[in-house]
Amino acid sequence: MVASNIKLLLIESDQYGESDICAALLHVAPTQFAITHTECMSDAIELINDNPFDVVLFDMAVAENEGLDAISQLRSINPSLPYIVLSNDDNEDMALEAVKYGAQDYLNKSKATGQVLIRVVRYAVERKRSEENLQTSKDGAQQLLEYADEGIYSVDVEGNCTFINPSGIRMLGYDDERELLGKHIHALIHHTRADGSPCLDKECHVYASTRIGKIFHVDDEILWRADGSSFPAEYRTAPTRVNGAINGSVVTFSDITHRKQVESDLKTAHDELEQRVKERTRHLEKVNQLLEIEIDHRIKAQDILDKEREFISALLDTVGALVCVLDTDGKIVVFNRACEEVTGYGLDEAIGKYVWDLFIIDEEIEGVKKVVHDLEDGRYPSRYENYWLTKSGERRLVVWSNTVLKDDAGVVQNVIGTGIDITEKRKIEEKEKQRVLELAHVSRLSTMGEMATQIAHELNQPLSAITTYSDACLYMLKSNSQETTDIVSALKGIKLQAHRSGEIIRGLRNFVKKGELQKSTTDINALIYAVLNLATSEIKNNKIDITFSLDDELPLVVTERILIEQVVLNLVRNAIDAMTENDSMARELHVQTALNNEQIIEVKIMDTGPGLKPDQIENIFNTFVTTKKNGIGMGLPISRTIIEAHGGTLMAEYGRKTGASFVFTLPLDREE
Amino acid sequence: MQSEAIVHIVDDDKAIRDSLTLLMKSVGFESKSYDSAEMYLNEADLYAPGCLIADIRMRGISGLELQQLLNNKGIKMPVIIITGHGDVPVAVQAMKAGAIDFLEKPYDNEVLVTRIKQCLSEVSKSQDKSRIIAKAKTYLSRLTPREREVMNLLVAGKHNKIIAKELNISVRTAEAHRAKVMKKLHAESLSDIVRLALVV
Repeated sequence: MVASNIKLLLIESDQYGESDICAALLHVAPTQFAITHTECMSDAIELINDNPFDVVLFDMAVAENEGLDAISQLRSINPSLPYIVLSNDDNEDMALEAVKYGAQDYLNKSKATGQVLIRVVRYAVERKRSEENLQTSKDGAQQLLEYADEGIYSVDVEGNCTFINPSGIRMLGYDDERELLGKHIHALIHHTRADGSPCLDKECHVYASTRIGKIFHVDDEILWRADGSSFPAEYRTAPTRVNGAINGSVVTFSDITHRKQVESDLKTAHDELEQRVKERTRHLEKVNQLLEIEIDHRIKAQDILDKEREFISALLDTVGALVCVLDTDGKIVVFNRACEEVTGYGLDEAIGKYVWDLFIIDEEIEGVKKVVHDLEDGRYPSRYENYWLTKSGERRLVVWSNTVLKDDAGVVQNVIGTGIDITEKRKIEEKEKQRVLELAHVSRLSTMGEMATQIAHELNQPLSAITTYSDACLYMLKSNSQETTDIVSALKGIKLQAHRSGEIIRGLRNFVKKGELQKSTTDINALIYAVLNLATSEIKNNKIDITFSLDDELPLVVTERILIEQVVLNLVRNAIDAMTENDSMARELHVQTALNNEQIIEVKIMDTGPGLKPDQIENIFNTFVTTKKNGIGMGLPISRTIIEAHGGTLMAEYGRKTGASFVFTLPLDREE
Repeated sequence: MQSEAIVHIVDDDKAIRDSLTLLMKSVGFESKSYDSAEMYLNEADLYAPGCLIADIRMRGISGLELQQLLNNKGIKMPVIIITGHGDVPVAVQAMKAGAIDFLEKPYDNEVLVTRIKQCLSEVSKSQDKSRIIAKAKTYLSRLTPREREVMNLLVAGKHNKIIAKELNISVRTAEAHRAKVMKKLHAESLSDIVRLALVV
């Protein structure tokens, strides 16, 4: 240390004048020292009190016999000052003693050269300063230890306490460090765990730290107080070393009761929170469960609804019938597959369109609109037949059954139409009708063929009469002798017979003519008379008596007149044929008409022929079955077909007494 | 003789009776008409000179039955049968039973008048007969065997179609044969053929 101006107090009785020491110092290092010299103790005490000296040189000779006391005295004034005791050969032992009393060093004046002197002084000053520095540092550590909140203690390798700070003492409930120092501290403060189990030495982290040289941090143990109580503590223990060898451990600890309490409170709060969360969770779970059940129910309900929808949808798409649902404006809202198939329009093209814009032919639009409006107004026509126009422009005849869908308030929401495409059916019906017509025609021609002889005979009567009348006229005119009255009479006869011929021919032509079927209101009684008139010659020639019981009140009925005529003629001719087969019987043809309670006209044609055998009653209507020698068995099947086409029936029965009876019916009202 | 003789007309058709009555009057024959065979049998003088024109088809007693009745009673009343179309087999029967002739409606009134005259003339009747037989024999000898077959079937009242079927020839061929037969026999109607065939 390069210290300038070391302030030095020299206490020396100078027998030789200027002090040798002083001279020596100044000689060697004149700039380094500021020397104050005194010879008596009292001055020295005053000087030390008043001046900040760096070092004091004290000659034992000044103190004489009281030399050692003088050192103590001086030190009591300023203990931090380094004192160097000067001696001579006589009192070197005493100087050594003085060092024990607190002097820094001693120096034999007789042996001290300048250089040695300076080194000793400087060393003393340096050492003193070091000591002071150390003391200051020591004081800081001490202060730290003293005033630290944490408890600190140290142990040697034996586990005995070598140090404990005041906080530690206080925290452990002791009054004095001596109660602990040198004691086996583990047994005092760390013997039992919080759960009551003993904490053995070998389990103690403090000892472990000493043993294996590691630092441990523990915060879950307790420490015991002097009064037998305990507190939760957190501690750190670290090994201490001297020249690298472990000589113990130092432990810092703190009472974490409060922290634990806080932690506990926190934990309680946490637990409570946890509990609440749990409860809330449980509640939520319960709610959730209910929700899940409800969701499940809803899903199931939705599922059922979906299934029902799918079912209905599938049903709508599977049924052959057209299903078309309209809103109150007449816009399409449901359009099933059958609709798509019949019309050729896709669902997308139809939905939202007005039904009459898409499907209805111009001349029927008003009618369809009226039906829709009637439905909305609560008038439900049971059936409605109209054409639907397909995408390709084809007309399909559809017969509809309509109804409406109402909301809770009874207001019509939708019009539902269920339709059947009867185009093909109608075509077949038309074809069937045509077939019946053709059959009837064939039958008529065949009848005519059979009747030709009769009809020729019938026609021959007036023709013969006419030729005879004319010839008579000619003869009369040639002879010039005759009266004109006879000629007039003959001409009248001609006219009459010509008319008669005309009537026969007209009747025949009307009958044979293959007309279009034309429905007309028919007087069945008149029809019967007309037919019998046609068969007059046959009836007459076969000597058959005809009787009638016709209902004068018989209402008119809509029929295909010529077809019904055909049936009556067939039945009458069958009756005639049956009766002429058997000569011996009375030949009676009885024709009867009546209206029964069900508004059905009954026509009965009875003969007195051989009648029918039980098995013939039904199979007589089979094609090619006949009881006649020359029959082909077509008449009755055709007749039955015709009557059934009119909604009636044709049956064979046993006659009143003998013979057969054929009955056909014609309902007044029949469904088209 | 002619004024004494009466032409009896039996027909159920009033127009036929009426017109025939006028015709008889126009040619100067006395006539009486009846609407049924029963009426004729009741009212007519069956043994007085005259002849009978009767329709085959009538209610009650038919023309054929009436002829039979008269034959049975031994009444030599000349009978002319009037038939409708297609009654040839019945007419042939009538001829066999001794009818003078049968006439199909509509009949030729001249032929009818001629026949009535014949009926009313005994002399001409017998003269005619021998002459007719000779003529018939001559005519019939001209027929081929096939034509003879066709004629026999015609006389039996068969139609062309049936004849064709029975002889196993076509209808057209049958018609051709028939035409030849008519020509060779100088016949104008089926009744001419029947008469010739019956004479021989």
